[in-house]
Amino acid sequence: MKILHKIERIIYNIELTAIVILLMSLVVFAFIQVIMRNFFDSSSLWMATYNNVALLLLALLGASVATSSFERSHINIDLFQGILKFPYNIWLSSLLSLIAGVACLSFFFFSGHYMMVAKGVGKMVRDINTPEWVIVLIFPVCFLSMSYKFFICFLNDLNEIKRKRGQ
Amino acid sequence: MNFITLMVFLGLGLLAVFGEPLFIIIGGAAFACFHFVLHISPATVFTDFYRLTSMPVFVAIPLFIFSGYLLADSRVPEKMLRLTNALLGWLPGGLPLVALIGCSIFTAFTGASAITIVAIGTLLYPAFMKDNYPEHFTLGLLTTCGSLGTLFMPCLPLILYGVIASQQTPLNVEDMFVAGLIPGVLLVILMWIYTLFFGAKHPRPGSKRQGFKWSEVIAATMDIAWELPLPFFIIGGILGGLFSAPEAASIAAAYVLIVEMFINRDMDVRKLIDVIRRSMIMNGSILIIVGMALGLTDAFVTLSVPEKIFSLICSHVTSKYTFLLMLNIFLLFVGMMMDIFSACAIVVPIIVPIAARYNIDPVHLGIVFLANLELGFITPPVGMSLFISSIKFNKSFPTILKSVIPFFIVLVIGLILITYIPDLSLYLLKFTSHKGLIDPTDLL
Repeated sequence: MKILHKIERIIYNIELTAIVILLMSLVVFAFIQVIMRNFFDSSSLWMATYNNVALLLLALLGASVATSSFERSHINIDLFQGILKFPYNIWLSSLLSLIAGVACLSFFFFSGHYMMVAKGVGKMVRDINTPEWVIVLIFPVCFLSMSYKFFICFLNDLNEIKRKRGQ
Repeated sequence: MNFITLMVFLGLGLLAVFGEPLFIIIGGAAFACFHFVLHISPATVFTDFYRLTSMPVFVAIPLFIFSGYLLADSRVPEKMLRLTNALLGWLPGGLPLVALIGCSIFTAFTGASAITIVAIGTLLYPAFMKDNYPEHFTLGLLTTCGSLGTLFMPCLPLILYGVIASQQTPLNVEDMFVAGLIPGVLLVILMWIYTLFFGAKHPRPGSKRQGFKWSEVIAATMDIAWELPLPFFIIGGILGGLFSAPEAASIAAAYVLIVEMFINRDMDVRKLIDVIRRSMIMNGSILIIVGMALGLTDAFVTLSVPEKIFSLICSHVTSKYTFLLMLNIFLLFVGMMMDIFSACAIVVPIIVPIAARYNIDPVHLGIVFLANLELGFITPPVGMSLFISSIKFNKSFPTILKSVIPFFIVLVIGLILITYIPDLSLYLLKFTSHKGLIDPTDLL
């Protein structure tokens, strides 16, 4: 279990580092664009495209970080978690994490299929001189990461039930 | 719809109620629509999700969230309250007015995520207690104030509604910003009037009104001198058509970052990384729902779901006003179950085309939609502000719930006015001008 958490922490740190770099670059480039448009009546195509791509990457990486077992901050309708008592609340949480993990795994497979199609088409995102499939790669990568984290949440919940029952 | 699809939808509905993350539910529903009903590969969902990269206006979302979190984590809440108190504290009902205005401005910048209660409510609660205000009044006011700025620019739900609705109908996010001003002020005024009535009915022994002091106004203004131009710059820039929502967002993010990091030095690198982490978790949680909802909307449009719902409603409702009343009740129910961001992603694509058939302006619809969902923050069982207040002020949930009832009624009165007097939302739009902004990606 320790090694699984260690892997999760490594993934989390990589994602967080990417988020910090992407957000800071987004702030800088978006601001430069405003200055260029308003004071020099021009704009940079690659910066505009980069900002749009950064938005997608930030969305998925942010969602992946939100899934981590030490964050667990996705938006949900939380009607029963507060009402149910131990161990039913943890059983429910573990079941939901398991289902979410399986769902993310299916998202991973289908987004992987989408990426393969994009690779086959071979379209380029001109302004940043990058093949589209490289950008699309963020989908399977993040959904796989989310799936892994949901499974860790599932295992954590099972452990918690075991631990509390042992006390 | 076949039996399997029906079971899948029922299962997803159940999972949603039990607390499954909403992006899984929406993504699952989109997958089911494409696979079982349209017999298309579910991978289509990701084609729709990828469309986020072709909508530059979405860039405003992470940038506004980031600047809002930066402001919340610096000393801005204290400085802002000091200035509002110096300017308005001497008026009758001064402290409640300070709370109403302070919270509205703060919510507008932090994006209706109930941070306001934590940041401002915590600072104001002792001041209300010191001034002998009854506890239930204070709790109700501060809990309700947590979402009061939802209609003021550049609040995140305004942007989200504008962006999602613009997929269905021609609409500018900037128009939403302008349209929210009068209804937002109306709600603040109605709340203030209630606090005045309450103050007259429940005199507080030993409390005395503070005087107006120029020296305090000047000192408070100097204290917030760097942050003060930001709202004026953003509101003025957008109203004057100088820049668009994403441009305003980028200016806000860069400006707040520079001021808090290098001028005020309220932020060090460690704190900044923590702000980035929390803000981008929020951004990711919202945008993954929006991305999945783009897929679900695509499926719904292909299946002509809005048309079918419209013909169903049309057979029972012919009047625009009856439709609006039904919409109010439906959205109150939505607000009880869902947070404002998920509701924007799921409900807006369905109601915008239906409302258009009843000749309801999409901008007016947006303001009605958001005013309705503003009530959702203080409506059980999901009302986020209720939970946060209960934890923050260490009071039981029923105590908080009881305290917000009068304020809820005041907001309902405001909602009725906003719904049935469209000019409250649309009047200012007659005076705005928009710069013909050309985004470089449009040239591709």
